[in-house]
Amino acid sequence: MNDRALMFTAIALTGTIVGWGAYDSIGLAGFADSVVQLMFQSRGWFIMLTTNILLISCAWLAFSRYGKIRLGQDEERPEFSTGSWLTMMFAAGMGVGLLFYGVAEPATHFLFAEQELPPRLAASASIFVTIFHWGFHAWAIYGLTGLVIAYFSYRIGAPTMLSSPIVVAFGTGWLPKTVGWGINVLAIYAIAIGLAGSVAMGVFQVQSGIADLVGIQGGGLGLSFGVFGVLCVAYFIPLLKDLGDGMAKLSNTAIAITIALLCYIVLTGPTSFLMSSTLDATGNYLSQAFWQGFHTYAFFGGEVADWFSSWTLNYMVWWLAWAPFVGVFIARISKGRTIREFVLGVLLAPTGFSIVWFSILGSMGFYSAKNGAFSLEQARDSADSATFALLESLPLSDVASVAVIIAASLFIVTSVVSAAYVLAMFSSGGDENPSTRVKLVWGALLGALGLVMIITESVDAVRSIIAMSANPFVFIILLLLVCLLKALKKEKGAR
Amino acid sequence: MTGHILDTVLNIWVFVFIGILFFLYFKEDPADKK
Repeated sequence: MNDRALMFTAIALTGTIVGWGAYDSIGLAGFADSVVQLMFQSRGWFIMLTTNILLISCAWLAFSRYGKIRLGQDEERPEFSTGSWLTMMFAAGMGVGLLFYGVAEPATHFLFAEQELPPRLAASASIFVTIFHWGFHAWAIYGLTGLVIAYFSYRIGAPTMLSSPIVVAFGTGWLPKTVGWGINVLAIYAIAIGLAGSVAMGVFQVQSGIADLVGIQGGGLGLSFGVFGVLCVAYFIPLLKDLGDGMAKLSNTAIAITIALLCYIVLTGPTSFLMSSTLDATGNYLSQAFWQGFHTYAFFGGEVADWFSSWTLNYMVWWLAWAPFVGVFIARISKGRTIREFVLGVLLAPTGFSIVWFSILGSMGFYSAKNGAFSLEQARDSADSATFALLESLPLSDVASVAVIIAASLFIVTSVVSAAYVLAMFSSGGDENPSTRVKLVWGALLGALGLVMIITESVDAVRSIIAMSANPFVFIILLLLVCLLKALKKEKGAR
Repeated sequence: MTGHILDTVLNIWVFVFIGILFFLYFKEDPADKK
């Protein structure tokens, strides 16, 4: 089966979702929701087991005898300084989700936990669980995928495709080739859906920020379409014209704005309280994160089980949807580093930033809510406007809101451009310089998918559609891990 | 009842998959035998 067949199958599969969503977005969202419910109810334990296996494998690989193996030839050295390596990695992995959920997620968990726990405990539990969703487990999923891609592409010299590890480890017989081909199609499909979902969420947030600034109530679909149109123009230009390292600069600008926003909140807010809560959250997270990965809430029914499915499981599957895309990206920027450096960098630095980010934004939300300047219920009910609502309780809120809108837009544009590139590369058989035409086709499909998700007007529907598409990756990622372990064993055995 | 059967079937596939992974990991490579 050749590359052309791969490209057409992937485009047809993605196009089917676009067509279905355009024809009946509510039907698509309902179908996705029922598939995801069934998957989470029957296999929730397996999703959590998989993330634990990935985290333990990452840690073991870093400290085992394989840790010294270089992701490239032995004489190769890293292309980027450690600072820019970590910044780029973080921008690719988290992007617009940070701005979207920074305030809303701790607030939502707090209101849920408060039904059972005293407010003080509910506050620290809500920040802990938010960091758990964005911490080591999330980055173990990205890290392992990136490690597999980097090892097979730069150490072994195979094409940058998810099928390469299968073919290298199990030969070029019809079965490994067919399984590899199927994995390539599913990877392309999952990247497209995952990315489009995050574009939709980004558009919801930018639209809500603009509506807040201009003083329109909500803004509705019309404003969403307007924002979406502007962003489409913004991402088609880099797809048509190679901007060199321009995209890296845009992504670094978005991260710089995010860090500046964090500093602004710390300095204009209750500084010592925010620093104390960050230290508190760090201790809580480091002491409990590993064991939290084994919690499946098996003895809880009803609301707790629903909460676990719609948050923890949904997040883990969301990271899986993004893993092939982020994996390719972090593999590329990590060429020349050792497995130990790679794993430690991927796990520690982004998790460290997540701890600080969510502790500060979450605690600021609780502080402002206690003083009556912010409503946690409102943050839960309209997550897209939560960050803007929180900023209103601080001085110079308009400037900060504009900064959030700019950062969110930059994250969307850089993500779509990089995703269109990765999709074009995957669908051209691993060609590192895919044609502009293929990149444009993927850019257009990502846009159409994003539009379909915007039409659903629901963040929950978007999350269900992403989770449905990422479902096969729970299995695929374990298969890739086996390929990596076999190849490493063989390499050490050959020496 | 149908729910239970579906649940069991979905989980059996997971067990089979885990079995396949173990088999693949420990299976000797034809090249290694030579």
